[in-house]
Order: sequence, then C-alpha cells, then structure tokens
Amino acid sequence: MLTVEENELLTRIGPGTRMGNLLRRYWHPIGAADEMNDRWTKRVRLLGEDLVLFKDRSGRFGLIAEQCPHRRASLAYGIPQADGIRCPYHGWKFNGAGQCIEQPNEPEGSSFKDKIATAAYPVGRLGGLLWAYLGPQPAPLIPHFDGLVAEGTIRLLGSAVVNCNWVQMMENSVDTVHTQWLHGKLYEFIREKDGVKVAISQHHLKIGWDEFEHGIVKRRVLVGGSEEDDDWKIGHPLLFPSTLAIGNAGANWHEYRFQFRVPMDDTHTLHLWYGAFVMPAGMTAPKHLAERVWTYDVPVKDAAGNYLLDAIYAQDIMAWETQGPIADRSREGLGTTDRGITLYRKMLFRELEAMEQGKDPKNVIRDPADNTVINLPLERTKAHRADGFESMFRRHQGRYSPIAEEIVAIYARKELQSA
Amino acid sequence: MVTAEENELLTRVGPGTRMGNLLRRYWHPVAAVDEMRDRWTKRVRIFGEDLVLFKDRSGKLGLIGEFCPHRRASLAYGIPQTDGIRCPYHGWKFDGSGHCLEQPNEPEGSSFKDKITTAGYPVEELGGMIFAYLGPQPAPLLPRLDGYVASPAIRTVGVATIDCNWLQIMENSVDPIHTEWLHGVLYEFIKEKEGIKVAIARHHDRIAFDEFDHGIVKRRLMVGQSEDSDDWRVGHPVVFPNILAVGSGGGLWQQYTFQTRVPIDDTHTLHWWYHAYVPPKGANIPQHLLDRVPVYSPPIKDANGEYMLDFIHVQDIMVWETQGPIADRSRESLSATDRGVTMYRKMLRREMERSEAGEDPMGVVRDPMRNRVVELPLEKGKDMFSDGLESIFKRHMTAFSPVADEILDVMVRHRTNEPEMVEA
Repeated sequence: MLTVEENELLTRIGPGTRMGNLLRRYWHPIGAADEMNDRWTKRVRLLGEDLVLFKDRSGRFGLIAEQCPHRRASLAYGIPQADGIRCPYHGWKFNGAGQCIEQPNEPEGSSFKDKIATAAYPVGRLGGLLWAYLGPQPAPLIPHFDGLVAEGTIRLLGSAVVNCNWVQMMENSVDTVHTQWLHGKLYEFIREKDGVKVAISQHHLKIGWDEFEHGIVKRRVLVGGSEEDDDWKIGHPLLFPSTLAIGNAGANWHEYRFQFRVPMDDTHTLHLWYGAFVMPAGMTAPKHLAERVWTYDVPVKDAAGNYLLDAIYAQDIMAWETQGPIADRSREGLGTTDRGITLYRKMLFRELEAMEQGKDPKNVIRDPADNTVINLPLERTKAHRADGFESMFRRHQGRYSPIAEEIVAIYARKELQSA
Repeated sequence: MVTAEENELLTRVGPGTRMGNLLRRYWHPVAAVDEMRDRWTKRVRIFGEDLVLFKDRSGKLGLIGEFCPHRRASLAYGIPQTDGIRCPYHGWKFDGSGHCLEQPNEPEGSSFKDKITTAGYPVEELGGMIFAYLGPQPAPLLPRLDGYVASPAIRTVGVATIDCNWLQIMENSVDPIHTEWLHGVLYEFIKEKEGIKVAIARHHDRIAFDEFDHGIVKRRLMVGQSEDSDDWRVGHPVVFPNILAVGSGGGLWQQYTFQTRVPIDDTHTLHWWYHAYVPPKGANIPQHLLDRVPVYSPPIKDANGEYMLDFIHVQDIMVWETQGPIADRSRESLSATDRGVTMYRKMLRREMERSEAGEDPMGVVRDPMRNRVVELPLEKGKDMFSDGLESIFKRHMTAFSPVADEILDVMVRHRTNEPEMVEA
C-alpha cells in the first residue's frame, strides 16, 4: 500500500513531474520506421506532450511539437520539405531541431523567424523502430538489447493504446503468479464448454526476483517443474524502467520478445509488442519476411465493446484497465506474492533520487563499449509454452500480424518443438 | 498573443458572459426553413442554452427552452398544437413566447399556469433561413443582407457542427494569406501525384484591412495582380460579428456566399455555408430551384475518421479544430500578416464595451429605411476563382448540395456561347 501522495509521485509523468523527469532519461520507441513508408507525419503523444513525427523530403525524421507556435494549427497535416516541414495554415517552415527557418509571408529581411522555435526532440533508429528521447542533453545511447540487433530476424510490431497509467502495466510484469489465474484459470473458464486446458494454469510452487544490471529477473517453479528448469535457473527480465523482455526458444531457434510500455500521459499508455524471430539453424528468412518490420494494430475489444478475453494480451489489458485510469494504491492489500511489485516501486523511487542527485539512473548507457550487444536472460524451455508454439502464438496478439500464418508454418513444425 | 484572461473574455459565450452578451445583440441563423418542412421540432443549442425550435399547427415558429419547467422533460418530443406545443410528459402547453397556456390535469380554475413561463425568443425567416434573437428587447431589425434578398436566385445551404470555439473560425476570415497555404500549397501537396496546380496557391504580395459600417473589408494583391483588381480595390468583408461574406461574379452572373458561425457553446460552433446564385439574364431556371432552399450536411471526415483534405471547407475545419477546443492564444506568436486578427479582436473588445455602455454595437440595424437591402462589397473576377466556377464549386462543400449539378447547369454548362468568367 502507498499513501495517496506516494501514488501520485509514482504515477504522474507529465511535464515537470518527478517521475516524468526520470522517464525522460530514457529512449522510448514510438513506432516502426516502416510505418512511415507511405506517410509523412504521425501524431505522437509522449509523456504528456503532443508531438508530431515527420519525414522530410530528404528522408530524415524529426519530432517536434504538434501545434505550430504561430496560430497553433496542427503540423500533423504539414507539408514536407527538403529540410523540414511547413505548417499547412500559413507555410511557416520548421526543421527537426524545432527552429523556424522560413515565414514566407513576412516582410523581406524580417528576422522574426529567428525568434521562433518550438519543442523538438532527437529521433533514433534501432531494430527497425524509431525512438524518441525527451530528456536533457547529452542523450545516452539507445540500448542494444539482443533482440533489437540480432541479424536476419523476422520482426513483428503490434500496437494498442491502453487506457490506464503505465505503472500498473509494469507492475503486472513483476507479478509472477497472475499468469496462472488471468491467463490460465480464467481462460479455461471462458473455454469451459470446449473443455480446453492449458499449461499456463499450473500452480506456482515458488517465485523469486533478483535485481540485475538492467532491471529485475523474475523466476518461477510450477507444479511438476524444478529449480533446474530455465523458468527458475534463468528467468526473464523486466528492463528498467518500462519494458518486459520475455523470449522463448525451441530446438535450434529462438524468439526475442519485448513489451514496451510507452507512457502517453498519466492515463494512457502505448503498448508495443515487438517480436524478433531468429531463423532455425540452417534456414534463411524469406526475403519478403525479413526486409521490413511487420506492423499491425492489436484489437482489444469486440464489436460489442467486450474485451477479447480468449487472448492473453486482452486478459492483461482487461486487468490493467479495470484497475482504473490510475490504480488507487492507497486502497490495495498487497500479499506475500507481491514482493516483486514492492521491489520495483522501491527501485523507481531509488533511481529517481539518484537522478535528482545528478547520477545517471539504472540502465542509462553511455559507453559504446557497453553497448555492442546486451545479452539478456533468455529462457529456452518455458513451462508456459508446453502446449506448443502454435497454441501459444494463436492465443496471443501475434495472431493479428499480417504474416501470422507464415510464422506458424516456419516455427510450429514438430522437429523444432523441443530444445 | 493575449493573456489567458483576455482569451477567456474573447471566447466564452455562455449565459452571463460578456462576449455572450455582445453576441446576443444580433440575429443568428438557427435553422433552415427546409429543415422544418417535414418535422415539428428541432433542437437548437446556442450560446450554451438548450432550446427547441417548434412549428405549431398554424405553421408559426417558436423558440423556447428545451426542458419543460414542470419536470424538465424535453419539448423536442413535444406535441404541436394550433397555438403552441405540449410537453410529451404531462401535456403542459406553451406558446412561442414561453408562456404556459394550459395544464390539463390541474384543478379547474387553477391559476398556477399563469405563474409558469420558460425562455422564449423571437424568430424570423429570411432567404430560406430561420433567425433567432436572444438579446434584450426591443429587438433590432433582422439585417436584409444582399445575398438573402437577391432575386431571382438559386439558393442552397450547407451546415456542420465544428468542434471548436467560434473565435478561431472567425479569425480565419481576417487572415487573408492562409488561403495561399491551406487551400493552395497544401492542396497541391495532397494532389501532388496528379500534378494539380490551383490559382489559389498564388503568393500574396500585399494584404490590407479597412473598417467599414458592417465590419472589416479585407483585401489582397497576389503576385502579378494590379491594384485595379477587385481583390484589392473592392475586397470582401467580415460582417461583424460572425459572418464572412465572400461572393464572386462574372459580368453576367453573381454568387453570394455567407459563412455564418453561430456559437453553440464555448467549444462547438454551428457553421452555415449559404450560397445564392443569381443566374445570367435569360437563363432557363427550373422553378423548383427558386421555390426551395435545400439544406445539406457536407462530409468532413472519411470512414477512417480522417479529414477529407481535398475539400476547401475541410481544410479550414482541420485547422480550426486542431487549434484546440479553445485555441490557447497565450501561446501563439502573431506576425506582421496577422494584423487583421488583432484588428478584429480589438473591435470585439470595443463593441463589447460600447454595448455595455448602452449603445447599439456595430452592425445593429433599427431603421427600416436602411434595411431594404444591406449591400456588401462584392468582388467580381476573383483571382482565386480563376480556375472557373465549376472547379472551385467542386473543391468546396457546394459539391455536396443536392442541387449541385442543376446549379452548374444553369450557371455554367448551358452557356456554351458565352465566356464563363467575364471581368466586370
């Protein structure tokens, strides 16, 4: 349980808030570069700011305030130029640094434009994603996590806007036992008439958490398992501050998965599910599958407005959203299985204070030597996956990817199933 | 830039606000006659008040508070009577002045009804529109603006609810250069693959603003134009406080356009695009085009919820709405080309103070002699229309009028032996 004040401190991330300042020390993914192939602009709401991502005619990306500082029309409808973007209302031109570089109807020789600048933030590229950094300069490096830099992978990026604060989504990732219920028993209840049973509903015997360089590793032993299993021995990490990394592997292949929770504002979070599939040994990814990041919108509710509760990700979103726009932690009752949550909250408060004392908070990387490849714990055999690749894949958001059937055809083959 | 307080003063129009009080000194269109043809009531929200426009069985219109003063049920579902409307809940009857005429279940002889009134406002018809006056009595005259009374004329009116404050819509009308960008360069960008170029994208050389009896005349000189052009010499007006009048004409025909912005509340605005086309002499005009002023709702967004930016009216709406529900003028950066915006804001302040001092504000007409026709400046041979009437007609909301093709037939297509645009 937290006090109301602590809850506010933990969750509020708009401009000028302490937690917002902490999150501004990190690069956040804002979409796939391939999303911009057929468009010039995309609205980006990030940490309580309305921004527009644009591509100029030279192919460079910029991220600046959405509203033009002149009369506050939206640059999301701007006109791309060789060296920036023009406001659609009166043609003022801005470059990616936010500087006004032309006011075509001002008197010749006017220097008014030199006084006009708007908010602008650097845009980076890694793993086919575009990343934004809203913090103080100098910007750190975008961490080269293994799945983002692996070569020749097939990459998926699903996205959905979740209508709640980011912290309750992150807390879910250090809450080991929820899987048995939310993804196990609830699912079996929903499929009761079909008599469906799933491995993920197996009871937890033991849970554990360890802090490591990049965040928190969480571990579990389910009934029938042992401490020799990858689920316990290796575990999988929460990457501080706002990512879950949960991979998987078969006989001679593996799959990297990241769930990025990108805070849009206090009560909305962009959820990105990134998957990078390494080809089975001896196989090369078909060119058409590997040449781009496959993006798609992940539906949360059906036409009647009900959560699509037969899918794992929608079970999660149901739990997150029903906790409220900002969960009231002054009215919670934490139990012994919630130690991971307490650990994570303390880490946020601790890193916040470290940052305010002038230090780089956890997981801020500045030395290129530390950033060649960051190999993360990767469980090869997970008890949750015992139903096989296809079963899990079709119960999760990847089923909506435009290449779902091609992924299943490659990875669901029997000979790949056991590590 | 204005302070946050000044921005509040300029934009808030609900009951009891100073700007609301100023705007209540004028007649405002609240419906088209055509809308009431097949119905008895229409909800009207104006200046933050919920009203209902109704037609009684004698054909008389009334405009009263939407919610019955008895138990507050909606009179929008009322039952029309010969001399008023009955509440659907308990049958109380009201006339157009808001008096309760009957309470059928009260004891005989009860005088309770005499104590019950609801808001009631005068309405008048002109040019196929229904106007309301919500200010203090005596009401001024409903100004007979030229386009409402020109005859013979083919008329049609488009209507939409815009999700933003009225002021940013009006400021757009004293901002001449936006046309070059929003309707010109942006449009050409959207149509880039087709290589389309339009006259309206031409660069402005000079702009000017002059106050006149009814508001502000704005003038523009495009690169290559002479000062003898109507765009500069005549200009076109913002009719104070909330109408843009932008007509055009060839030598033989005329087009009147009124864009009237009626505040629904602080963050919604009813937008009317009223067009009156005076055909060339001798044109064969089907009678039904003269009998009726058809109303239509031009589309704004497509099935994906995106603005349909290849239309002029949508380009405007995109800008107005993206400025925010109430544009934050404490964070704007006005430049030399925004003189018209500043002038208009000052005029609003000045007229507000004048009306608070007991005078009639600008454009209020009380003398019938001065109200036979209020003639406004009308440019003929506008540069931005030089792609031809049909081209601009189809790029604008007029494309969606139910009589669009018939208007083009009368105005343009049946006159193959005459040049379409003749400089006046």
